[in-house]
Amino acid sequence: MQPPVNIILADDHTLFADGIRSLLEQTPHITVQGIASNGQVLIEMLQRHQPDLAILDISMPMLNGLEATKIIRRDMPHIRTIILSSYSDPHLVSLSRSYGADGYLMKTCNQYDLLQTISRVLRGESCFPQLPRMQEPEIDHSFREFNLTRRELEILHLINQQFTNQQIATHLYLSIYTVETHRKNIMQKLQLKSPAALTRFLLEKGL
Amino acid sequence: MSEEILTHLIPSITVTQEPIMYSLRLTHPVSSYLLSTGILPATCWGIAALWIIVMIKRLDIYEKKQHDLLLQLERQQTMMAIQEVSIQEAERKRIAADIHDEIGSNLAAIRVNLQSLHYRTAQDEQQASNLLQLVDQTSQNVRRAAHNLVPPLFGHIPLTDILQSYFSLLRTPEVLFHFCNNKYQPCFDARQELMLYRIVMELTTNIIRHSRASAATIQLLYYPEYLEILVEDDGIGLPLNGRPSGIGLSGVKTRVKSLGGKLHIDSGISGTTFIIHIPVIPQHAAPC
Repeated sequence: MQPPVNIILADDHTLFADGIRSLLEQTPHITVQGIASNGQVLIEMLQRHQPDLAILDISMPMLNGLEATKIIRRDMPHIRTIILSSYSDPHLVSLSRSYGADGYLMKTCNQYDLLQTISRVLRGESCFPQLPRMQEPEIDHSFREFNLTRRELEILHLINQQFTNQQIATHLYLSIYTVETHRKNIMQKLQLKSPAALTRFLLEKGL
Repeated sequence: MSEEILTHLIPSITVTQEPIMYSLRLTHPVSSYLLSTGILPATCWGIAALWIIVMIKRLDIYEKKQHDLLLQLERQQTMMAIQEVSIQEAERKRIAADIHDEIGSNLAAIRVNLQSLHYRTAQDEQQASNLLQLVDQTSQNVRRAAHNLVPPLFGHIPLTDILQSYFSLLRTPEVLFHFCNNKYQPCFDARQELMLYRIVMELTTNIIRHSRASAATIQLLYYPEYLEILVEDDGIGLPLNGRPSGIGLSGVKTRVKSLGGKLHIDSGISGTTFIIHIPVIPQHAAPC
């Protein structure tokens, strides 16, 4: 016998929310206490009903799902939240996580996935889809932390060989302005102020 | 004597024409005096010089007017281009909202309702499952279409997050894209950020379509006074004789101009580098 679960849904699309409600209510221990049509109504309903879980959409009028999640986490931390969105964008998934959501599901999920996610989240786990990783260029490990690009690293090596901006430009078939811009960006990324500081940095790095 | 010269010079004048002869008798000494003292030639030269000065002045005024008119025309053309871009943006936003809110939401509703139905036979269930697949496929296409028009929650989420997300999902067989940014600064409003987003998208599309590059780097670097967009590839460079606008750079140029920015293009055998500087407008600079 599973413990009873009270849920509040939030979606501005009634037909969809009704569908989710009937899908959830096929499970005996789940009760849907209400459906909110926007983020603000959701916050009011949560304060009144104090459910175990809120399932909410991202794009809603008045207060979007991400902002609502932030408020829930701050004011009602005992209520678990699952984002149920039509978007699969990685930044929305990671923003939901950082705003304090416990789970993220696509609206195209099936009933099994929905129920699985609900029970995992209620057990205290967090449940997010796997995010794709950006294809990183192969960059020397000692410089990875500085977020330098391949070109910047190339220029840094030439600076280390005492090349002037003009010589670097000729060597790489770039204009001097481009080289100067890269050089300025390298200095900003390494948080260095002067050429002398750059020389010291290169020495420390053992280049 | 003088009368003789005059009658020789002006044969139609007869000596009998007394009043004329009188006036000639009077003016002739004056003119000979003016000629002999050099006043008349000097006056002539003076008038000629004055005339030349006036003409030069007029030419100057004409050239200035022409220059002003050209400037005005250019300003109007820029304004029109900017207006066209903003109308296009508003339209895109509307269509994206229509597609997402109407079609997308209805498809999601159809899906969830199909799932909650009870099917009597296995055949019914199979049919529903086929329908679900079709709905999923259509939802995906609708989502992609809306996303291409305007990314979801644009204006509520940092631009760098949206681009990071875009490039992490972008899988092109030929070009390896790398996106890099420093700390995001909310220096621009939603309308300006949408323009910045379009600039990056247009340059990315150009790289995929025309550059024949194997790698490309896109950077958004925030400095206190400006935002630097640096887009570089290792492709074949821009066509030498071909007008850059021919490959879709006109949109980039218009947007950079309307943001008061500067565009620098460095193209050669090692690829193309676009360096764009967009100034931070003082009223938006406060939160930075």
